[in-house]
Amino acid sequence: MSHQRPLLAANWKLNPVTAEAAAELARGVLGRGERLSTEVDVVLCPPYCWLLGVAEILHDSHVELGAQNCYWERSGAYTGEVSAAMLAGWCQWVIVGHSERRSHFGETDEMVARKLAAALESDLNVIACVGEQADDFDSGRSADTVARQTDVLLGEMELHRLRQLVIAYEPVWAIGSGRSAEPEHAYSTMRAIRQRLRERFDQAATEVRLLYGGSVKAANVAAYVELPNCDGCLIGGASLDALEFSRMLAAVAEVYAGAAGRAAE
Amino acid sequence: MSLKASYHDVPVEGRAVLVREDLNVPLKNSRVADETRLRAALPTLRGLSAAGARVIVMSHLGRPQGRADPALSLRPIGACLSQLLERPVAFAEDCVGPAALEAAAKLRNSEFLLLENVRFHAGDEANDPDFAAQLARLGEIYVNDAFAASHRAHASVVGVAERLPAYAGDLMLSELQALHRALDDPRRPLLAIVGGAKISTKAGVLRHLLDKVDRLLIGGAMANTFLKAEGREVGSSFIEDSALAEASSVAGRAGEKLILPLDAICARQMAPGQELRTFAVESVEPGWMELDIGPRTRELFAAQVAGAATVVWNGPVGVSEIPEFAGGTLSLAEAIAGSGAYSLLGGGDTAAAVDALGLSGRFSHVSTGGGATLEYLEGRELPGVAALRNAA
Repeated sequence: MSHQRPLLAANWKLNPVTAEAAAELARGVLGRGERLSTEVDVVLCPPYCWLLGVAEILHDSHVELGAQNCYWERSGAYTGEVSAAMLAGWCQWVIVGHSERRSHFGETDEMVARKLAAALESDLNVIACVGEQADDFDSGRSADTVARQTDVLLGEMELHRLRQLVIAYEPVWAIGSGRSAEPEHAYSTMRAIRQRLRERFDQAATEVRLLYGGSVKAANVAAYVELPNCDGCLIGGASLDALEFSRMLAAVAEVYAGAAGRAAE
Repeated sequence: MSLKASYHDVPVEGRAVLVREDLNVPLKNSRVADETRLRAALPTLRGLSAAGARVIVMSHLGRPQGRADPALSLRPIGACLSQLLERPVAFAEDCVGPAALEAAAKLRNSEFLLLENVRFHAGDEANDPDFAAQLARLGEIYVNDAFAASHRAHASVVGVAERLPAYAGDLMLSELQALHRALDDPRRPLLAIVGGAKISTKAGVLRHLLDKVDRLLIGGAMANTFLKAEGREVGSSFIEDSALAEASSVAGRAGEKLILPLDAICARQMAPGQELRTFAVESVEPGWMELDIGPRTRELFAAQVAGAATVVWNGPVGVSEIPEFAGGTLSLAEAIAGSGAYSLLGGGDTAAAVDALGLSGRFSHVSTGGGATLEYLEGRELPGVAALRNAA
């Protein structure tokens, strides 16, 4: 029976600037949130250069580690890249296709699909991001756009890899804007993703968790995780404050208090 | 679950009694904005004082996360508590260490001392043994009256109880007795109503209740998922696709026990001021969302309630925060209040939803536990309750 535990993933983006600050943030989250990480899956995604230091801090805890990006080739003449195979030694998770990768670094759906495939092949759990731009939203094409992105991502996906996959829906117009999608909009768009998964994988599609991302904070996180088809959130800026992040964790744990979610303890 | 021993069962005169209350009240400009939880603590505090105990009270307030935060000091709560008790309440600047020990040593029989927020120390939420030992040093007997905090294994809830003789307070006992009466030793037929949006957040509750109840009524958006699992069209209603299999499994096990809505009040958007239409559940048109139970369902649910001797209710049956979609929840509340059944309501934000509709006084018991009540409804023993002595 697939009863998914909720997932909160912290995307630190290009922060913090020093190793000390990164370590402090990781320790802050661990100190405040570790207890609840037996009820809510927690993933911290620092920049590449802090992965090792944060990995040491998270060692022996329930809190897991992820990277924010990866490259699909395993090794070779690709200056500046880090491969999924390399990350697999340090992390359990990787984010692919974040909207900032798509908009600032020219990643296409096809590139994201290759990264996803490489990461799955390296046995990483993957948070693959999809989301519509402001013009799609304004013209009512949100569901179509994310369904199409989901199709491309799923590509040649093998059934046994589904349990490694999490799809994060980010309305791109909401990221870092202070605007967030109405829960009703998030629901209908995430439902389109869920239906795509079902059409493709039938019952096995329920193994894939869906996250919402976009200006999520402690004050509104419960409204999203209470939505059917939303299994957690991908947190950006608000995850840089250990106190705020742990408040979100507590809010999600309360929503799931009746879910018999402590089995993994 | 076994019932717990009360502080009334032991002599407390002249003894230092460390009481865990839930004084987590909303503050506005450093003043108490809602006294409900303070009033709920009064019976135990007065009872201990009347019996001659030296009463040392501890609580959390907000989530200061292991650091002193002046905005979350319990000092203003002490002032309010003092007014309600009509007695002085001393205050210790810290819940452990010299400040607490000295203040506790000064306390005479029947007097009150309130300790600063236990969550100013990270050791509380971490259930740190040293921190629990420091708290335990303040008292000879421990009383837990904080049912709402007892699903969390914190030092002030569990750690202290392992170090001192531990008894239940009056509020704790009234919560446990009500839950016990409704679920463990009910007059039958026992009927449960579960509402809310998601099956997955209440899967444990549904499964546990199914084993106990004679009838299970489902409302709220989670009813759509049950209806969809039966193969019905539910228009554009909220559906939890990943829980369709769970819905089928619950429905299969429930058989005749399960009662689903027959009709629904629908709108095109979940917002106030929309055009409303009522559809039978088998014919909701595309583009319309089920947002409340309809008139035939209200009659069905009322008839079921009328035949029940005990009713347990968790979760509104419609989008009750929007007035147009609160009618089903209101009519269900009326039916329960008028039925003569023993009625217990609570879990998650149910108490708050019903309070907002002005209905709290209509039930035999409104459980204030939130997450703690939900975990009880799942059949889990709460760590803070497990740590208390059993009744003889």
